[in-house]
Amino acid sequence: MIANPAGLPAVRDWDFEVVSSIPRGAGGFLFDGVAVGKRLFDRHAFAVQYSPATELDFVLPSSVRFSGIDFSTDRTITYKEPLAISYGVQLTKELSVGIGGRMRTESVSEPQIQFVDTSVTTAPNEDKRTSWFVDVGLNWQPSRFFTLSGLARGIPIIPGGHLSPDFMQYELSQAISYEGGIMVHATPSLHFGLSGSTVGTGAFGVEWSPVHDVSVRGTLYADKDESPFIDAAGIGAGWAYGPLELEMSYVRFTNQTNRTGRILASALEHAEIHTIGMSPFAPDRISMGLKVSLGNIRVQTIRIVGVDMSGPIYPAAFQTFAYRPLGKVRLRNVSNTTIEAKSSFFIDQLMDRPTESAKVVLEPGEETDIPLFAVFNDRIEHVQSASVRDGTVVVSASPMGSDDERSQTRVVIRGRNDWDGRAESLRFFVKPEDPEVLKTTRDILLTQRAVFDNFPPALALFEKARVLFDAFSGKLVYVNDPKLSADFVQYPDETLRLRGGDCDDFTVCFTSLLASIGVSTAFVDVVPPDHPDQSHIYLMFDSGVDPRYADQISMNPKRYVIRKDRSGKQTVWIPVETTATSKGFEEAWSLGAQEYYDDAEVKLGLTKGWVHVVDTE
Amino acid sequence: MKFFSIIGAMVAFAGITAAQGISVQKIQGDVQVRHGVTEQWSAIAAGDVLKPDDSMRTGRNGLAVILAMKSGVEKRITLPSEVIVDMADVRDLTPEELMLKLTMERVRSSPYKSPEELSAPNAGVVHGANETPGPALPENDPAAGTMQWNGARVLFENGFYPTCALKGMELYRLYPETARKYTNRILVAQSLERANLRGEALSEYNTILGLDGLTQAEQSTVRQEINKLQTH
Repeated sequence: MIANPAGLPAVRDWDFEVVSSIPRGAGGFLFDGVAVGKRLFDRHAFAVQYSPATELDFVLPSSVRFSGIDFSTDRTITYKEPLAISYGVQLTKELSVGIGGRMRTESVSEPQIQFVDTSVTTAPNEDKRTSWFVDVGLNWQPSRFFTLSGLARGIPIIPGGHLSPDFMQYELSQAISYEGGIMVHATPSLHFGLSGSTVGTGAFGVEWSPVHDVSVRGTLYADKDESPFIDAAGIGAGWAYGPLELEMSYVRFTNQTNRTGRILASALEHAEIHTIGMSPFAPDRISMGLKVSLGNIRVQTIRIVGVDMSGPIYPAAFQTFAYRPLGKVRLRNVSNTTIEAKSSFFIDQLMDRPTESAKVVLEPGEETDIPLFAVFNDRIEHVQSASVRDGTVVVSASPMGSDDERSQTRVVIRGRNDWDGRAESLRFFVKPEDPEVLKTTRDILLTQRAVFDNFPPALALFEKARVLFDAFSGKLVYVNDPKLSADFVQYPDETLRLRGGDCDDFTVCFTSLLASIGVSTAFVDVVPPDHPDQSHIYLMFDSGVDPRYADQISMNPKRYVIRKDRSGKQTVWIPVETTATSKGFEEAWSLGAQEYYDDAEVKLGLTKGWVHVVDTE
Repeated sequence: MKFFSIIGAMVAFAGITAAQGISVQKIQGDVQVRHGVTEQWSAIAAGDVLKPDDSMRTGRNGLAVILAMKSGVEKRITLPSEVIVDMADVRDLTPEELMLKLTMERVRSSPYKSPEELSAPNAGVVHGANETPGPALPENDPAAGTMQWNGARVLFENGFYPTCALKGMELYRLYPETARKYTNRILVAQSLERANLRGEALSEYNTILGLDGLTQAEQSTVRQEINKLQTH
C-alpha cells in the first residue's frame, strides 16, 4: 500500500483501499489491511494504514512433550507491522517529499511449565518489543521522461528497548536502509522502473497501459542474500472505472525453501528480515486490492494561474466585447498529457449565458493566455453608475470535457453615460435608430418639405442638415458635465429631452440626427498639445457634393474639407461647431470651419497627430 | 498614427509655422483680402498685416507686394494681376510634412477596427436613396480656378515648392479640367521634384505622359525629367 510516502500527493481527494490476499497454503482470502488517504489544501496528503496481515508467525516446537497434558510449551515468535501513518506534500510541480511512521511489534512467547502440588500448569513467559520507525522519502521528476525517488527507511524514533536475554536472538535489525529508484516514462503508457537498496535488495519492473484505464505490470525482485539472486517475480493487472480501481497481482518466489510453513530454527536465527512482506519466509501469494476515490474524483488537468481584466467596461461600447477581449486568463496544463482547453466568461444579469473563447492546445506544463470575450444583453445599457460586479471565469480541458477550474474576478462596469474619452468610443453613443431621434428628424424635415423643392437633389443632404441645425437655434443650452463624473456623455434622446449638454453631448446628438437621414459624419477630435486638458470635439458631415461643384456650397474653400467618403469618392465635408448650433447653422458652420482650418491646416494638427478625424460609420 | 506623431513632434518647430503675420508692402489697383472662412472679399491697404488664415486676390490691373519669411529670412513676394493666394501657403514645409500631408490625403481616417471585428451593417443604409436626377450643378467658376493656379505659380517662383504642390493637387479636385492641362501638371511635378519628393514627382511625370494632346516637345521634356529622376 504505502511504500514511499513521497508518492502520497497523488491521492485525488478521499482514497479508500482494501487489500486481501491468498497466501500459498491458506484456505481462502485473508484480509491484509485497509488504508485511507486524504488530500488537503491542494498540495498535502495524509494516509493511515491498518494492516493486521502484515505479520510473520513462527512456532518453534518444544523439545519436551508431556503425554496426556493438553498444553503447549512451544516457542512462538510473531512479527507485526499493523499500523502506519504518512504525510506527503507536493513542494513543486517536479518535487514531492513525504514522511511516514510505522509501528512494529516483535513478540516471543514460550509458556513455562509449573508444578503446583500434584498438577502441572503453564505460566506465561513472553516478551514484546514495540518500536516506531520513520521513513523519509522524496520523488523528483525533473523531466516528463523520468522520475527519481529516494527513501530512508526504518529510522528508529522509538526503538522499544530489547527483548529479554532468552529471546534477544529473535530481535529484528533496526538498521536504517536507503533505497533509490528511477522510473523511465518511455511513453505516456509505458514505464520502466529500477530500484536498489543498501541492504542488497532491488527490483526491476515494467508497467504498460494498452488501453485507457487498464494496466499490466511485471516485476523482478532481487536479494543478494538469496540464492538465486532473483528471488521473486511478480505480475499484476489493474483496471479503473470511474472512482474504482481494482488491482490483482501474483508473487512467486524462486526459492521455496523456508516458505512452506516449516523451517529450521537455525534458519530463523540467521535470516535477515528487512521487510515483513518480502521476508525470506513469505509465501507466494495472490493479492487483490480495491480502491475507491471519493470526493473530487477528477484528476485536475488545468489550473488557472491568474485572471487579468483590461479595464472597466463602458456600457456604450458593450457590443465590441463580443469580438474585442475584455481581459485574459492565464492557464497552465498540470497534467502529463497534451490537453485542449477553453474558457468562458460570465457576469450575472448582464449576460444571458457564458461567452466561450476559442480552444487552445497545451503541452504538459505549458502556460498560455486565453482572451476573454463577453456578449452582453441589453440590461447593461441601463447601468446608471459605476459598479463592481463578479465575473466568473470557467476553464475546461479535454478529455474530461467537464469544468476543471473556475475563478472569480472583479469587473468594473461603468455607468451607461460614462465615456473613456476616446473619439473612437464616442461613436458607440450615436443612435440614429433611436425612436426619439427618428421622430425628431422626420418631424422637422416634414415641416420644411417645401424648402427642399427649391434645391437641386445634389444639395439635398446639405440643405437637410442646415434645416436640422436651424431647428435647434436658440433652443439648446451649453452645460458642463456633472461634477465628480468621469467624462459623461448623454445619449441623443437624453440631449433632445434635456435641451442641454456639452460638446460631446451635442456632437453625439447631431451626429445621430444626421445619420438617421442618411448623412455620413465624422468626429473631429482636437487635443491641443500645449493644453491637453482643453480637448474639444465637434463634427463634420458629408454633403455628398462633388468637389467640382463646391462653389454651390461656398465660394471660400476654407469653409469645407475635401475628403473621401466610405466608397472612396471625394466629396465636400462641412465642419460644424455643435456647441454653437443654438446660434443657427451658419454661425456653427463658420466656427467649425474656422476651427478646422486653423487647427488642421494652418497648425498642421492633422499631420502632427493632435487632430483626429474619426468616421462614425 | 504613431509614426505620424513622432514625425510631427520632430518637425513641430521646424520652419515657418505661418503663425507670424505677413505684412502688405505695396498695393496697386484692385487688391482685396478675405479673412478666414468668411465669404466676402474686402479692401486692403499697404501696411496691413495679414494672418495665416487670410487670402489675397488681385484683379485684372492689380498688384501687391507682401513681406513673408522664407527659410528664416524676410522675402518680398510680388503678386501679379489675377492671382489668388492663401497666406497659409506662403510658408515652408519640410519634405516630411509634405509627405505626411500627401499621405493623409490618400488615407481616409477610419475608426478603430481590430482584425477580428465583425463587419455588422449599420443604419447608414443604401436603400431608399433619392433617385430623382434633378438639374445638374454648375461647375466651379473657372476664372477663380485660373486665378488660383496663378497663385500656385507665385508660390513656385518664390520657392514655396511643397505648398505649391499641395495647392495644385487641391485645384485638381476643385477644377478637374485644369488637371488635364500640361502647364499645370508640370508645375506640380516640378514642385514635388524641388521639394525632394522624387517618387511623387516621378509618379506625376508619368501621369503627364498619359495626357491627351501633348506635343512632341512636351513629351520630350517629360521623358527627360523622368530619365533624370531615375538615374539619380
